[in-house]
Amino acid sequence: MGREKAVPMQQNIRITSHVTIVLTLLTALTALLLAGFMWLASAKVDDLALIRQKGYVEQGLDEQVKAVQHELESVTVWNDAVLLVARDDHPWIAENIGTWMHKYFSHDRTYVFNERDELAFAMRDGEDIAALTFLDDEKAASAVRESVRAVLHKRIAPGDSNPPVLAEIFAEKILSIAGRPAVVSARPIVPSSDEVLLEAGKEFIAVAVRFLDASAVEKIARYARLETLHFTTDAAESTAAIPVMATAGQTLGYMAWNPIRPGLMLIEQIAPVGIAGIIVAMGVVIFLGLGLRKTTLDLSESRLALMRHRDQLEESVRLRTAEIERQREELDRLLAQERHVNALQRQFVTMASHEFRTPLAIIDAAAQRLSRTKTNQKPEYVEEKSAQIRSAVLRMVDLMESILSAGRLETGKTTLKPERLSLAEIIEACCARQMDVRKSHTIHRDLSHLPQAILADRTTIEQVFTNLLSNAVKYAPHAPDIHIRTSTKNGMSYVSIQDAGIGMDAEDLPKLFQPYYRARSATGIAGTGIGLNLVKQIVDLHGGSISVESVLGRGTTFTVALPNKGPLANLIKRAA
Amino acid sequence: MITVLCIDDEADIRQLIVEELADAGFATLEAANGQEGLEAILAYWPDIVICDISMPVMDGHQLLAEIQMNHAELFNIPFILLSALTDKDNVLTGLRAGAADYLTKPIDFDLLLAKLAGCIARLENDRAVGRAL
Repeated sequence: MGREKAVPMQQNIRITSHVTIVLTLLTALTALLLAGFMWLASAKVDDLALIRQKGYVEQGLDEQVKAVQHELESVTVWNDAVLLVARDDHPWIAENIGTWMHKYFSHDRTYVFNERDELAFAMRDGEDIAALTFLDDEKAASAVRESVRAVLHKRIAPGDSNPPVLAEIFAEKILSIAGRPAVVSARPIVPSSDEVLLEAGKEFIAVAVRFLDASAVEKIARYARLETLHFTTDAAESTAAIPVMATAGQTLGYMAWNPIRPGLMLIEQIAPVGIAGIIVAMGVVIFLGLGLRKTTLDLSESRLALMRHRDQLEESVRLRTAEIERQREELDRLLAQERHVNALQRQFVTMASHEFRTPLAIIDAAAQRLSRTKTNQKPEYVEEKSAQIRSAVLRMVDLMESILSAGRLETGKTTLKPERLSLAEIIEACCARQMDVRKSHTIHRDLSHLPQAILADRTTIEQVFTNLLSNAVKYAPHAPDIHIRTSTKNGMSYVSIQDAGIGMDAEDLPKLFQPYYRARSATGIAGTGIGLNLVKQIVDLHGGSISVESVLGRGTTFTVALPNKGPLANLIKRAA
Repeated sequence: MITVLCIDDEADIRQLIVEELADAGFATLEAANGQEGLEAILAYWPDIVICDISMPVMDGHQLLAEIQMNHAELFNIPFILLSALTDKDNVLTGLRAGAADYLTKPIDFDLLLAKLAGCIARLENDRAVGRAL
């Protein structure tokens, strides 16, 4: 039972483990999905933010570039400027064009060319260059000045139906000056109203240079709210960068910055909380799984206990039923035995009556004969009749003794009085008596192998041999020879009494010593059925044994074994 | 002379009965059991049979049954059962099997002789009627 009971428990544990694993996996998967989604969202947000940042930087750059010519406009479209540059008023020019531009618009360099394209004024980083020299920017400044001059020339050329407005003429270039990106812008200095007339071909041209890697960067950074913005020629330096393109098309460098990643920042901020949350969730799942496992185990345990209890109950019911059945069978058996004993006892009473009546009949008949033949009484005749009477009386006495002994044995009132006696003498006496009673049989006896004396109870031992001899005679009506053989071995005396009579079926032998039992072959031969039972009980009381061999129709041999040293000898031997 | 067969396994009883019958003027035959009794009946055709019941080899009841079944010609020989068995079962069994009478032991010789006399009277009457026919 044990093995079959263990299986559901293992199954339960397996199911519980399975559930726990599935729950854990589901939780982990959910956490993974959530994390993945978060990462995706943050990456998307970061991308969007980067695009926005790029837009701001591009726009900032664009505004910075465009601002240069607008700022230049503020000092070139001006009546005073036309008049005063023509007069070559150096202090005024330095004050109102050079310093102004540097101070308020952060222009790095300012040049003014006269109508003959000669340098009339130069200022670099707020410093008035009196020597009127270029540094490394002559080519660039000349290029934009040439462009403006070309437009101005075109204006005065004939056939131009749609001349450009003076105030709107400008030229601008983004290029590299000594490796630095710069916006170079040129405008003619023109009157702001009709009050001042400027002759065509007499225009002065102002050129502004603004580097894009210095103050412009700071402005863009402020505009785009990117503190780390800077100019670099190395594009790989940073992930976020936009190119600074020259007007000619080549890349001068990059506006680069450490991109602001709001998604990443968000993740960095919520990651600890998220991880803690996942750990807690896992913990809860595992805790719940363990709880489930414990509950399942308890359930299995209680179910097993229930099954065990049920089995025990079934077992006890089964045992109880078997016990009741056994008791019933025992009662039936006892009842049958009781009935059998009753039947045997009734039979015994009938047979006992018969057995008494037979010698009585002899006595009575002999007595009648004596009284009837008064006239003719020879002494031999009287002798013969009295012998018959006496033999019949002996039979009756033996019978009575047997019945009384049986009664005593049955009630346990028999006490043996062991004495030293000669077994040979007793057997001899029994033989003589038997031959007296039944003259038809001859008892051949060899008693020489018996010990001188054994310790035994005389009265009962006499009954043993009387019974056995009378049986031998009674059940061998046509075989007149009876043999008694003796031997001594291992402290026991053996006496076997053999007849060649009717014998018995093997089936009768085991029951032969039961009270009132009579072999089936004894039908028709009177007997009480108490003799052999009596014999066995007496022999047993003496610590001896009796055995029987018999062949139906061929005769029977009873062998009695008696301990030489008396009833206690065997008991003592057994106890040792 | 009337011949009586006495069947009994007890030699003493047999002897005493035979003595008494001989004194009373009967011719006697003896048998020690039913088997010997049947052989004697077939051999000597006794006029009357006195038969014990408890005997080895073949008892009184068996002998009567045997005669009833296999020897119808012997059926009119009167059987007087003489047994130490006094219970009603045995008496009824014996009488139903055709016994003329059932006497119990110890034996009252006067009673036995009176029963024999009755049987003889009936026998002689039968024979007289038989001769007359």
